[in-house]
This record gives sequence, structure tokens and C-alpha cells, in this order.
Amino acid sequence: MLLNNAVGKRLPDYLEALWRFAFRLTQSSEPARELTQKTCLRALEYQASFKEGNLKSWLFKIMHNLWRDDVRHNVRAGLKLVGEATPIEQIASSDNPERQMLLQEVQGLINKLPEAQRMVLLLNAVEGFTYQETAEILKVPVGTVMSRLARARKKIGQSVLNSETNSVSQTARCLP
Amino acid sequence: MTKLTDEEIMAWADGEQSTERGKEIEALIAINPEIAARAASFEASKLPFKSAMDQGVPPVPSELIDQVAQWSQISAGPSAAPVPEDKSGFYWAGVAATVLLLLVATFSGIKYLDSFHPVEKWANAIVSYQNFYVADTISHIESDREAALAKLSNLRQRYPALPASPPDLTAQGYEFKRLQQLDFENKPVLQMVFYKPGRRPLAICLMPDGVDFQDAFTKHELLNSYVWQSNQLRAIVVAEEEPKVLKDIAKLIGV
Repeated sequence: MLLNNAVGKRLPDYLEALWRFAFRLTQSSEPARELTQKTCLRALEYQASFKEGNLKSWLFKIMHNLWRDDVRHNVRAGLKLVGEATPIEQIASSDNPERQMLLQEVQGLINKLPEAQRMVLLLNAVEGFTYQETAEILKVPVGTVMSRLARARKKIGQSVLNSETNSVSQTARCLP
Repeated sequence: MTKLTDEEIMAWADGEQSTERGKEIEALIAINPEIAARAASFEASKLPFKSAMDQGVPPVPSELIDQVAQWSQISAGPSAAPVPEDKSGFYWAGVAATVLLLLVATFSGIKYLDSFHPVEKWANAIVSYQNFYVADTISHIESDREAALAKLSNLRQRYPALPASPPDLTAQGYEFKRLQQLDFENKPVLQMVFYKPGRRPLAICLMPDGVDFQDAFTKHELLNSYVWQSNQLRAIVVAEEEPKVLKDIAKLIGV
């Protein structure tokens, strides 16, 4: 019996999305590369188990599981990621410094969220997965996804409102 | 007082509530400062999340693109393989390097395949596939020799040149872990993986094939490989071992 080839054929199409998600999870190039490699290998290895459906969410589920296992392993081993500069520090100069500042502040607010809330926000608001898909990737009920997202959004909104300069919200309102 | 959850207010802020429910929420916001404060937070949280998180993400490393394309090719056949379009400077540099390699090989007595040979392409894809596996990847897998024998027996009905069983590599310190069937350009590739503590996994891959080529040892960055041909089979052993060990293992395949 030959393996189900659907995953192998379509895997390169999702590489960019996987890489971006890996980078957002690990916030550093080398761990992101390793996580993406592991995810692709695992997907190919278990491609026979992929049934018809959303391949992207299946791949993200694999990546999230691997990342969660890595984090747990590192915590147990007492390891801490010593990565490169954070993405915010790497942001190149832009023709629109006002927007640049807004994006940096928003990224900072997301990265300060508790991990469970950050994950839901990344999958739903950044990657565009539905509540149901997000729930399947994270293996939690849909209600949990919604409540975590609400908590994350509320926290971010409060931070914006509480910021002394209110620069984020003011800038955001000026943007199209 | 009507109880209003954060999820409902968030949906309202995002314009996802029905008109009727939306009006009810707006009425509550107008008379209830606590609800108004929560609503203001959700309104303020309508931010360009995707654009923000796209900032600073570097492009996919080119070697990762190549690697995934090769893995994909192994398991998915030729349609997934990238087709080189530009035969400019890199092409001629590659030709020159190959000629140089062949000259060195001729004088050193080592046999190499040239990089455009279909067997070399196959071998490189196999090595690339194995390259990322570390001992931890397979150490936990239960060895299932019975399942492997059954699968081999089944495959030998179609490909009689395949061996009847995985080789016994206990003398080399390796334990058989598993047998899997891969696919390379729509041809089956039988992969047997062995585990030895402290070493990268050893893989033997066999593919029914009638292409003539010479045996060749190749030293890669992390692993070494030895390709040989026997009885209408293309074979390769990939491991963190010296040439002599790889050749001895090749003899054990019994094909």
C-alpha cells in the first residue's frame, strides 16, 4: 500500500505559513527553522493519517503540539531560550514611522499576553482560523477559545486605554 | 440587570452581533458605566494584529525551502519537485565543481556519482530526508520485526528482488526499529531504520530499479552514505559510520 501522497504534494504550499507561525511561536530564526523542519517531517511521516479536510489546520496542529512538547521539555530541563534579538528589535525602518510604531506596540502587547491567550489570538486573529478550527488545533472546547480570546482582547484594549500617551489607539484611529 | 458576557461585547465591537442584540447591547452601554468601560476596551482592541505580527518575520530560509521540496519529492513523486529555471552562474559553477570532484575522485581512487546522475539525485534526497532525524526521533519506537516481515513478504510478491527480512545489525550495535514504504518519483522506496544509542539513526533504503551505476561512498555534512546496485535494486545505507562499516552492512542485505 502506498502512502497517502496528498500531504507531500501540498506541503511546500504551506511552508511560508508554517515558517511564519513557527517564528511567531519561538520569536527567533534558529528555533523557528528547527520547529518547521520537525513539523514537515512529522507531517510526512504521518501523512497516511490525514483525512480529507483542512490541511493547513492539521499542519498547524502538528506544529503547536511539537512546540508545546519542546517548551515542556525545556522547562523540565531547566533550559531557557537564548535567541536573537526580538522581532520588534529587528523591524526595519519604514516609510511610515507612525504606522511602524503602532505595529511595534501592538506586537509588544500580544507578546506580553499569557501563553494560552496569545496562542488563541495568533491562531484566530492573526492566522485567520475560525473558533472551531482554533479549538481543534489547541484541543480545547470552542467556548474556551472564545473566552481566552475575549480576555486577550480586553487586556490589550485596557492597555491601550491606559497607556499614558494613548499613542496606539490614536494612531490606529488615524489609519485606514 | 441583563448579564452581558465579554464574548458578547467583543462580538458587538467586531460587528458580529445581530441587529436586534446589537441594539440591546448599545442600550445597556448607554446606561451602565461598567458595561461601557468593557465595551471601550474591546473597541480599543480592534488593532492590526496580523500586520503587527508579520513585522520582523524573516523570509523562509532558502535551504529550508530546498529541504522541504526534497522531502516532499520523496513522499509525493515528481510533481512536487521544484524545476530549476535559471542555468546561469550557479549552473556553470556546479559543472566546474563536478568536473573537479571527478578529477579528484579519479586520482584518489574513490568512486563518485556526478551530481546530475539520477541515482545521485535520489541518494541526495534520501540523505536529506535522513539528515534531520536524530536518535530521539526513533529511540522510543517499539521495534516491530513481525510487522516488517509481513510487509516485506507482501512486497516481495510484486518486487521479488527485495530481501526477505531486515538485516541483523546487532554486531554493529544497531537495533532494528521500523520499516516504512516511501515513494520517490512514483517508485516505491523501502526504508529500514535502525537505532544505536549515541548515534544518528541508520537507514537502509531499497528501490526496484534497472538503472546502471557504480557503487559510491559519499561523505556528507553529518552522515555518510554508500550506494550500490544489486539484482535490479538500487540501494543506499546512510549512517554516522565509516565507509568500511557501510560496505559491510551493504553485504549483509543479501541482495
